Amino acid sequence: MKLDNLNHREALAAEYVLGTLRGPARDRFERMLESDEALRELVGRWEKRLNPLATTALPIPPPEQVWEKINERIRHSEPAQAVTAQHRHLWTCYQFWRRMTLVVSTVAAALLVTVVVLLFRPSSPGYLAVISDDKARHAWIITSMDNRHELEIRVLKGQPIAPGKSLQLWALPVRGQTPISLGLLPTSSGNTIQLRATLPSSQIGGLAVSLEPAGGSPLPTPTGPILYQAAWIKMPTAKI
Amino acid sequence: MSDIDALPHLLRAVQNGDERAFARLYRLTAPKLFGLALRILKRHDLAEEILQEAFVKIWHHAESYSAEKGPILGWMATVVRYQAIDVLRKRQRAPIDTVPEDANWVDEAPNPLESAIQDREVQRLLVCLDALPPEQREMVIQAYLNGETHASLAQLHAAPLGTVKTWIRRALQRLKQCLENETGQP
Repeated sequence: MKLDNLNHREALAAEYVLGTLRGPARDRFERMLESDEALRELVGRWEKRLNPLATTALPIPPPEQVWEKINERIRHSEPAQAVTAQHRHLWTCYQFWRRMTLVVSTVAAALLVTVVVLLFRPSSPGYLAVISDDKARHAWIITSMDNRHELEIRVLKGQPIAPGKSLQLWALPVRGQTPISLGLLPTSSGNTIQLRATLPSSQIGGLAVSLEPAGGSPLPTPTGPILYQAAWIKMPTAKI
Repeated sequence: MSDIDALPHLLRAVQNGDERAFARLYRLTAPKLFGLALRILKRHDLAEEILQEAFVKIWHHAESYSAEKGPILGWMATVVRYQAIDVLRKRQRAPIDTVPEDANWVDEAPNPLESAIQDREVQRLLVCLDALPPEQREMVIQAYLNGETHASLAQLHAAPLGTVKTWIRRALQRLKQCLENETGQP
């Protein structure tokens, strides 16, 4: 039987699913997947081919506490899509952001929060943090809808950081002392990302940013110095 | 309604935010998925963390599942597997010759005859795996179920790295061809 050789893309897709594609090649492939629908389809077909093998694993009942943690996290939270659409509607006003960039370079962060609320009166309740320092080398605005898990992070002022380093965002929960990682902060000006937090925004007491190795802290807690801290502010809603 | 048959109904309810359906989905599928996570990560604490992350993801992304993605348990397994692979990539792996704490969950290559699996898709894949040369079959199973890399497979089988890469690619080619012949579908 003559075997048709897998072409390069198909081979990558197959090994991605199999798990043998690793290292920088896996990262590159994942980035390609984001914008290449045909490639996603190839991956989908390989998943369908190989996934039946997953069901041959011996079932082992997990400890009850795993379910308890899952239940706690998903309780009262909605599927992600609905939240994102609402976010975009609120925060895509270009004029607003242009004004904000000018303001950041001249005003201290605490004052900035008041400015943000005055400039843009949200009609839905939500939370806001402005992370910056008095030299305004970096500035981020972080927002979340009331009691959701989605955070939107906008880089108002960004600067590249040292190679081999990253900036990691932490939530200081209202209950408990251990900071909870929210992920890595983008550092390019004008960049916006969505993050999904493991706790609802109403349980965040404050935010902190630590300097970590590239890829983030190897531990579930910060290992590097805390560079910034910010209050998590409940935004007043507009009075109509 | 058998357990497997209940999954599409449950997942549809989960897509609508039904928390009780999600709890039931968890009861039905978590043991298999936990078993899978343990094989790949070889540690209970990591497997528990991954299971948690995977199910939270499944809750938030339930709407991304559609029937064309194949059986639901397989789709859920991809969430678990990709997450587990990412954990492996971030951490230092234990040396290959470390004895795992719970050796009884490490399954040898599944034997199609012994397997009580009724599912036609599983049977088809197992038949095609059976048709592979034994070493290629073992490598595919070890990569998929245990999270082995080219390098770790080379060590396990005392084979050169280049040979492992060639065998894996060949095995995947053969599987594709065999499955297309079996089903008439790509």
